[in-house]
Amino acid sequence: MNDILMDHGSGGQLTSDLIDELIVPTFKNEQLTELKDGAILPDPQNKLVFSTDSFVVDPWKFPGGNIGKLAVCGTINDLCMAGGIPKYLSCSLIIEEGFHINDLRAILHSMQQTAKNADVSIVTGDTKVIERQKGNQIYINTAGIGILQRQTSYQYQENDVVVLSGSMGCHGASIFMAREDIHLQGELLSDCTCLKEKAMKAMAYDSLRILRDPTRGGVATTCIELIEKSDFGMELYEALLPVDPNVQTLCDLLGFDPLYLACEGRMLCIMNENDAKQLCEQLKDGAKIIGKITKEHPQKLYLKTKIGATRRLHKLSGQPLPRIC
Amino acid sequence: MHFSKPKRPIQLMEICGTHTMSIARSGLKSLLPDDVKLISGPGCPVCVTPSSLIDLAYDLAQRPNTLLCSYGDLLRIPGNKYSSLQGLSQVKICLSCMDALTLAKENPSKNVIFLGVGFETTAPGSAIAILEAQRQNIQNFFFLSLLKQTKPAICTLLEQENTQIDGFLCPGHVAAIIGEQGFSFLPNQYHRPGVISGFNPEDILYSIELLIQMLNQDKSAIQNTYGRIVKPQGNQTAQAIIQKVFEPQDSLWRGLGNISKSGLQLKKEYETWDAWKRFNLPPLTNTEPKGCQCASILCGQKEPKQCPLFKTVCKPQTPIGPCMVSSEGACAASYLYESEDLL
Repeated sequence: MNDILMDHGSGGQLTSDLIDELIVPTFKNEQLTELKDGAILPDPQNKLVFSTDSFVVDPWKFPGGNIGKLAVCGTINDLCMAGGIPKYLSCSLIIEEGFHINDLRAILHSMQQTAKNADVSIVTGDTKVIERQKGNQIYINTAGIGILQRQTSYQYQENDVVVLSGSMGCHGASIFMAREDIHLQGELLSDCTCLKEKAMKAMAYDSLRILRDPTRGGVATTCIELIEKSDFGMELYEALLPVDPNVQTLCDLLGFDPLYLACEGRMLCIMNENDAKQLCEQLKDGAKIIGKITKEHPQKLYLKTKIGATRRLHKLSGQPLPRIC
Repeated sequence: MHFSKPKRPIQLMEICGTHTMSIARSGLKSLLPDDVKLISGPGCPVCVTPSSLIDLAYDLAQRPNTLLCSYGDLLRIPGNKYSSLQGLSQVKICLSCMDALTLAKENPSKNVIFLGVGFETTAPGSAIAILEAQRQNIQNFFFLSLLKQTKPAICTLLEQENTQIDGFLCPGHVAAIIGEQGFSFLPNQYHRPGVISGFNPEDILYSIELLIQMLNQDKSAIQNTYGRIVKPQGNQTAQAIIQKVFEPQDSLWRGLGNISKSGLQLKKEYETWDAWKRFNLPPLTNTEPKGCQCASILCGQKEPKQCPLFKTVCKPQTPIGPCMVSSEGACAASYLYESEDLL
């Protein structure tokens, strides 16, 4: 059998076959193998972090990853950004009738690899099939549980700085290129990756105030979200913003601003300057201090441009569409 | 950077939407001397296209077996009868006319129509696609020419009574095609200086300084700070291919009205690919949304903030006029990068 059929979601024999022959062997772990209606997890002995996220990315396969890797990284990263050490994930698949089973296999394999590398188990799940042309190939929801390692808050101090763990916008740019079938010279891969190790390094610093991953809306929108609930403002420095040359080319060509392109494997940390410098050395991969917290202009984000002017940054408005010339 | 001090207050127009965006994004206006004012001109192709195009395109898309191809910006423009082209399954975003030709080859049972807006910069690529359609004998590909030329619009602006433009920041991309010579009419006919500029903020700053210096010396000439791309004669191959495929025709500009010989239409020998003729389409009309000041803004007579709709009902999420729709429009640039207290 090559394709997903409506029967794979019926709860009958084909559903069992799919679970027993593909899903359980791929995700293999003690809790899942029992196939109860829920996974029984050991007593955590600390506060828990709980998060969920749904993935509808189009196309499901893109340079540097696929929807499976994204679905695992996304929830793991959310748990880490909330100060947790991720432990367990659920995986709910919503598959369109006719989706190739080999593609599903590749997606599940990516999920397992990504989870394993982060020492996370996929312990429970669900599979539904929707009629042909009632969806876009495959959607995945993951929920995750982590053990709280570090409580974070919007309590900043003046002259705290903002660290970005790598270049901006590779994910948004690579998805756009895959979706619109644009080809540029040079390789542009999504930054989709698991942030667990990097987040743990950041959590080791006492001065760490907060962690966030700049996903939809990009670095600019996320930075505004970081200050709008605080009593502080923020300044970013255009000259220090790390942008991959391929992303910059695409932005120049299409009129996008890298500050608003999504990342799926980058983190923003706010902490004191000395710790931030040390952390950047530990993180490598182009981690940089890109801005600072200020008492001036509370709840507002400003960009110091390369030519020495200052302008206000706002949240992303509207989906970016390619411009004409 | 220190600017020369202008001898009198001056107004400079940047014609090109890419300049408008770069100026806004870099915060460049805040670095200019108080008596140097920058105003945005009619150089964003989406902004100067009448909104009746959207109604015409919408109706066209309803015809059987039709695939309409458009640059992304056009999709968000509100029409008069219809909200916009967004969400229509028979409308596809293309990055170039060649992409539309490829779609036509892949969909032989459909009539693939390309909405060809743009200036001298997009005209050569469109011409190549049409020649290619001819060479490969592709009969289901059509070009709806809305192409415009820069010079007639600037002449119209300068001949209006209340125009106060002392000098021009000339668009580097257009100049790459038409050359320095393409802007010599500015000093020769109108005694206005112009500087052909690239699109980095540094390019623009330097070009503005040169304009101030020329105005201080009462000198009008064309200078070129984008010599790495723009040659005195321009790109003669591109000019030749435009002339081979297109000929001037009268064209309706949003804000400027009908301008004689300011558009480009397909020559008779290419009429097989001319969507206007093939589908017997009516000419565009000039009806604009009530209260919308895009017309005055495109002529540099008003700034976005002087429009009563700006920021009140006209926003990037819910644009009324084309200057808010296009990512290069003066209103979008002002809203996104210059206004202080949003929402």
